[in-house]
Amino acid sequence: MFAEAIKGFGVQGRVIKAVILREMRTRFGAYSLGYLWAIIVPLLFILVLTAVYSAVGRNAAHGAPMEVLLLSGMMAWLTFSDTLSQIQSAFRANRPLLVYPMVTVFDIAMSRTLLELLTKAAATIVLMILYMSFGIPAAVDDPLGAIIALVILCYLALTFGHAVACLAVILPSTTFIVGSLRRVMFFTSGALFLLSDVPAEWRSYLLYNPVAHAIDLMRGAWIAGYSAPYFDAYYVGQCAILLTAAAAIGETTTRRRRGGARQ
Amino acid sequence: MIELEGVSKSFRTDTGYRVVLDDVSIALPTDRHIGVLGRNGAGKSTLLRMISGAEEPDAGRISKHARVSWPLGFTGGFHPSLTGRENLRFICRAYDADIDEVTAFVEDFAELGEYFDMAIQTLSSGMRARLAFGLSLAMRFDFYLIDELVSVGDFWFRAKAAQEFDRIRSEAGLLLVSHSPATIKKFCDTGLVLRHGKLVIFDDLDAAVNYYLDDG
Repeated sequence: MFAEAIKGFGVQGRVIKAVILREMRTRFGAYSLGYLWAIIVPLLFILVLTAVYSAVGRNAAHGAPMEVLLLSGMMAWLTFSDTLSQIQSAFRANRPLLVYPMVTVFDIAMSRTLLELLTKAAATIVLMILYMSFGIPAAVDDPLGAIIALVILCYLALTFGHAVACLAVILPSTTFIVGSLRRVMFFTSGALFLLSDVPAEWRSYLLYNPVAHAIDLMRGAWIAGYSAPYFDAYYVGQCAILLTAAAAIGETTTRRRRGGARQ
Repeated sequence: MIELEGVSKSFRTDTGYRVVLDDVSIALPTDRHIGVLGRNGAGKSTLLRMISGAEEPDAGRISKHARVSWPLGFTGGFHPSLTGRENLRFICRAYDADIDEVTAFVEDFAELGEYFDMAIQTLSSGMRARLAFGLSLAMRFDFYLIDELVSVGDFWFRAKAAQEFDRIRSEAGLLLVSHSPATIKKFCDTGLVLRHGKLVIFDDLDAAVNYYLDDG
């Protein structure tokens, strides 16, 4: 029994690796540079955003330059947002793979999440080094804390995305509603500003967004003089448990309706 | 051994529910050559897809205690924008097979030439089927699932395919779906009749064919 469980992990690891390699090869398959685009696109996006912000004359806070606030906030948001997109489209994209008996829906979702996490971590490091080479003090203060923040964001996106994808099987308009919700989540996440700059009575509403908590945690890890006062582990944990339950219920109730691989 | 425990499956059609399997529990020996007999629309192909894992039963479970192939010649698992070689690599990784060995076999067997390194979407359906066929041969499954013996590719390839099919029959078990009792008699030693949502297994093929034809 125990040996079988270990063997199971071995198979799963092998499958996840195979799916990740396949994803990397196909996501930007037709373009030169290939998967490097997955790192270049968020980098360019954040650089342009930062250029606009500095032209407008936004300033720094808590002893950190504006570049660092946007680097930490936007990378955290994009990690959540892109993982969410990848999970929502995972069923359709990888459905044919389910004909191979060792490939499960879980493997596909896990592969996409892991790949997104690794990609965004790489993009974050590249941008950090780029800033530092230009003399901007962008070095991360607590790397482990930053990784934890990204993992939390990936987990929220994984469970939320899977629950939404399952619900969309029954109610196709879900995809549209979540698209609008995601925009609201972006503007309330604090990716573009600091939560401390928001009046307290408004802030309490913004903090219903679990992504806002995780972004605050990311900033706390990045900036030495900032201690992430708005990150509430208890609240984020509650959200994670709720979303996990929603994803699990969605999976069991829609599995048969979704069907397997089409022949 | 492939075990079906309380497996049910039905489809909704315009005229109501069509039952394929109705609470079926049966063990299929994976060292035999099993021919599936059933009338058109009885659900033979659905049964095969459920065993392969491509389709889920409505109720019950199917457990496999052998390396069971995907339906022979099934090309839907290929990614259209990857080349044959790249798709092959993915499948080898998933099945923990030796990439170099499998590549060498499939390159030789499928004879795709330069098409082996072109995206699947640029290949003809015959080429894809050859690739899939070669790949399932190279994986050395214990039990092969075959939905009608459709010959693929040109005439020469068919002779080669027939030779390999004989090798499969001598080395592995198989489950062959066909509407033709003659084909089943030629290639199988065990009969499995699907009728009215139930499966009945026969060691004697003639008895299976009689039972199947009996259903007036």
